[in-house]
Amino acid sequence: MVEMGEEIIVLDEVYKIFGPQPRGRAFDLARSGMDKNRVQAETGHVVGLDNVTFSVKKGELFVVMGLSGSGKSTALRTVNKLHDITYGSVIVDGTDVQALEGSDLQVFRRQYMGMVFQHFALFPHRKVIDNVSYGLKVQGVEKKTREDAAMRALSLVGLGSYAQSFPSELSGGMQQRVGLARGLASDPDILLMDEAFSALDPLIRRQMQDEMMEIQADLHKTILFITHDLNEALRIGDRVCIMKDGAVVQIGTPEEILTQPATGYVAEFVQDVDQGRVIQVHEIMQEPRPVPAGATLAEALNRIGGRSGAFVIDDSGSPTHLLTADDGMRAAGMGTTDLGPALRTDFDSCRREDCLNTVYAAAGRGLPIAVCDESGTLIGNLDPRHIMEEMGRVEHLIDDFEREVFM
Amino acid sequence: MTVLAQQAGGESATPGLFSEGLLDQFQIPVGNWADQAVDWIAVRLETLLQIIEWPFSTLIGFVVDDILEPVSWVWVVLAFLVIGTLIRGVKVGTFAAVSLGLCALLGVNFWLQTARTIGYIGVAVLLCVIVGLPLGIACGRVDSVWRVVRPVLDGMQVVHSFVYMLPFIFFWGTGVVSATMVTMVFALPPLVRLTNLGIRQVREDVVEASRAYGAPEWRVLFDVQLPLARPAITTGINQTLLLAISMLGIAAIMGAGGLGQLLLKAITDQSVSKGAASGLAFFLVAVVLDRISQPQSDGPGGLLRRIRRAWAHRRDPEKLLEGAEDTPSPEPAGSAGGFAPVTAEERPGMVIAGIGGLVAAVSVFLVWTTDAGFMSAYGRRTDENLAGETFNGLSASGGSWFGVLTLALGLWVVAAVVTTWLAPGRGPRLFTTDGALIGALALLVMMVCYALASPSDLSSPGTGPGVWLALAGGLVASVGALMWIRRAPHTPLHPLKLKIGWGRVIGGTVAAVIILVGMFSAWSFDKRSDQVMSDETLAKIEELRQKAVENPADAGPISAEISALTAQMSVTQLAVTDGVSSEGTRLGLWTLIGGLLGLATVLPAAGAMGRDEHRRWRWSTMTAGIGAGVACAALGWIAVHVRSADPNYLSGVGSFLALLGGVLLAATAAGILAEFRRSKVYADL
Repeated sequence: MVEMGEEIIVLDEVYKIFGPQPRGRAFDLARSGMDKNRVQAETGHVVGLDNVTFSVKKGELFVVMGLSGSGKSTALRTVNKLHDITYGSVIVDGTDVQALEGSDLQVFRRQYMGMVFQHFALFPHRKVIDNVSYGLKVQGVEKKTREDAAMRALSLVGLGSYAQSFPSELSGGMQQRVGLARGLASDPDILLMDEAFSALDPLIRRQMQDEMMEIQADLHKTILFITHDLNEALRIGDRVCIMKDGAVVQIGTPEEILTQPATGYVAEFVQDVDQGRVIQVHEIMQEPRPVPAGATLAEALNRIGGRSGAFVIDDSGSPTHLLTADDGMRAAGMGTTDLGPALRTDFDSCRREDCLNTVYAAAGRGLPIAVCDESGTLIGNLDPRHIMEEMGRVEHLIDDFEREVFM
Repeated sequence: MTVLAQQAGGESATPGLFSEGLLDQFQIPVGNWADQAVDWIAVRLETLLQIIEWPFSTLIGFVVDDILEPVSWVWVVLAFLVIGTLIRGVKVGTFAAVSLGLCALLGVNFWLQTARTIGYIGVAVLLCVIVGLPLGIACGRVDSVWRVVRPVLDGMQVVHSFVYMLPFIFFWGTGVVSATMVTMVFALPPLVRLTNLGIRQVREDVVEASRAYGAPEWRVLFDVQLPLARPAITTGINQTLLLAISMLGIAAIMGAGGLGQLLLKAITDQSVSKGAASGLAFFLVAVVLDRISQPQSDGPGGLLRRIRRAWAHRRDPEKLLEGAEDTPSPEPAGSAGGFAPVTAEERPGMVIAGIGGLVAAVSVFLVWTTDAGFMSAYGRRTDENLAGETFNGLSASGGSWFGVLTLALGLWVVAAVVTTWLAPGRGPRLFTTDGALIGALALLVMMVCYALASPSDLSSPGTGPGVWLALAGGLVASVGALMWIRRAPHTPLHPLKLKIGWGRVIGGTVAAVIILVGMFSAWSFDKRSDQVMSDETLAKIEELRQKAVENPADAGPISAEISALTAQMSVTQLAVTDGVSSEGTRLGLWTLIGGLLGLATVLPAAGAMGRDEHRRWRWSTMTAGIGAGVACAALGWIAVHVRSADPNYLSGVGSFLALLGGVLLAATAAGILAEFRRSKVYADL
């Protein structure tokens, strides 16, 4: 048994070729490094997975992200052998999945895997409770026990009162909750989620992501999550693997993907991401450089230096007033030495863990934003110009990429 | 041909390879080869042929010879009532039972052939399912099997049945077995195709879900694929059945018995009566089997249309599934509501109606007639032997079928009251308030007709207390049901049209006219022979008898003389009585009065006297009840004669017209009755 944090799913040099002769020339060509489209043109075979190697740690939420045809769903299906692979190895908790056949495979699936599908894949002719308890029924668990387990899983997703309904009576979001409950009911180590939230509308999707993360915080399952939505991948993933044409392009934490895109392809994706939802305030804030309450205007301007402004703090360290560089210069130009008249109180503040998108409105005013801790003490200074720069940085990267390609 | 060849030979001195003479000498002996092949197979593979034949002959022997033919038709009808109810609901079950009951009442011979027909079709369909379902499943799950099976199915469907009929006749001879085999070849493909399609169109991810949770393949099949393919499979079985029915004619040509044979015989004999009766039985059997096997999602449509559709799509039955819903969606859980509960205002009416129904039902077990029953088809000489006996409403010589109808109607009223009391609005439509009133009025009208109809002049049986009790029960039930319906919280599904329904008035008038014509038409045909002996003749016969006793040697010629004498005196008179003259029962007159009464209720029901919806519904219910009563009275009369053992005593067309008029009258109310339901009460949403 693997401990928390150790690798539980390992894909090593996995190839999957679709077609009548998967191990023939198409495989040789793919192995020699020819890309998917050329292999298809030459041999008529489709390369589903092209030398895919990644590993998922126990308790981790690992997201595989890619567009349709990128092989992400195929990769997922090799883990429970819904697809055979052409070459390589898939090891789950020390078991070579490829070697499993017949009842061994069935026992393995029952023991380790729950699976959640894009279009829910509920059994329309069975009640919600029978859907949820299906995995346990297959295991041969007796009726009472499995229904208790199913009810627990249902109440976990907040659908306890719908046990006796049929799936068609529920909304899409509710149906996927049933799907999730079905995955959780048999208490498997691993949850395979295939575009689980993609068919839901954005609001519900967001809500489901939150709920899933809450459940995950309690249960610490190993989750292999497939999506085509990078926003979703970055939002929920501990680590993200980006795939293209059957091959892995980059694996990393959401921050790494965002800040260090490995290729132009990833960067192009990242362009569409609302980074404000991923980057937190503390990543771009400056150290505070507060102005003491009794300071003179000249001293204060000195403290501001090249920045757009500074905060005046009281004895406890909380910001009370804001002096912007512009206001200070104007006051100085009028010959005042007193700090008081140049100060303004209508500044905004935020926390260090806030995401950038929560401070967009404040940044729009062009004034520096105070970053405070729980007790109200000033711990940083957020310059609106930096927010804009951070947003624009990725654009540059893509411009570079295009220059590379087209010039 | 030889002449031609000679001519050709004459023109060219040396016959070349391509000259007609040489080419025409070829005769590929396909016929001989086939002959030899058939002989060879029949001799060498006899065991194989027998093995193939075994399931067919065994099943047909078991189902037809051992079950359907020997048992009483009542059991078959009851079995269909149960089967139909279980598969498709009370309505279809009742319909099946009534239809088959009608087939049975056509006569023993017709019933025998009907039973055989049901058996043959049943066996053919059963064998198709046994072969076709597993084959279809294999095709749906394994591509390579489908690649092999598909062209075979195409072949089976392209070749005409007359063609492949021949080898079957060669190997297994004519008769039921080879006819069933040919039927199978014809009817099997749609089932295989639709099962294959049904399995294939199950969503891949749902199948994957089952596998992903570790289900073994048999579970994937039984938990997911088969249940979700069920609509397609039921359509397939229904198609197979329709095609099997349409093959019955060809089966008859091949020497199979059944109604097809009767029809064939009716054509060769040019017999209208045989043709009409067997045609009716054939039609009823076909409709019953089709209705029972019909998939729920299938749209409505007459049998002929459905058979035509089955024929049109027999090569691409997949098209039949288009537009059919794949899963029936039950009522949403959120709208957990109910029907309006029974109020205190309704209860008195319900109780009275229930008591009335119960009284009527009990009355049939009391004495209905003393001596003979004039409505029991024993109205002549035979009844003399019955003098002094008493009969209850169910015995043949007493109340006869009127008693059965009284029992049924009384129990119907009771059932409607009890169903509504226990589960308001939930029961079948017929067991609601309007159902109770229709049953009660039908009972009342029928019993009034029965009690007022005058007995035939040849016997004068006394009417027992049971009849009067049944009449009183009908009256009480009607009063109670009328009180009840005034308070019943029923509302229409859609607002009624504001215009006066002249169509209904016309329909009611036509019904009344039909009943009027029926009244003047014949109600009974009596062709029974009777011996009218004068005292003189009797004396002569007695004298001859004495002679025979004295001279035993002359006994032979003397007895012949006696026979001749009796034959001379035997009179066959055809007595035709209509529905109004005093020689008959005057039942026609009473049904006409009922019909006119019903017509009077059509006016307020059609909206001619106020537009209040509830009121129009009440009057419509009364129309339906009175119409049903007229129909019941006529039906009782017809049934009395059907039950008669003497084939020379028949009911006339007048009673049929009265039945038709009654049904038509009731039918004018059908539209409005279908609109009204007990009001729904919704829980908080």
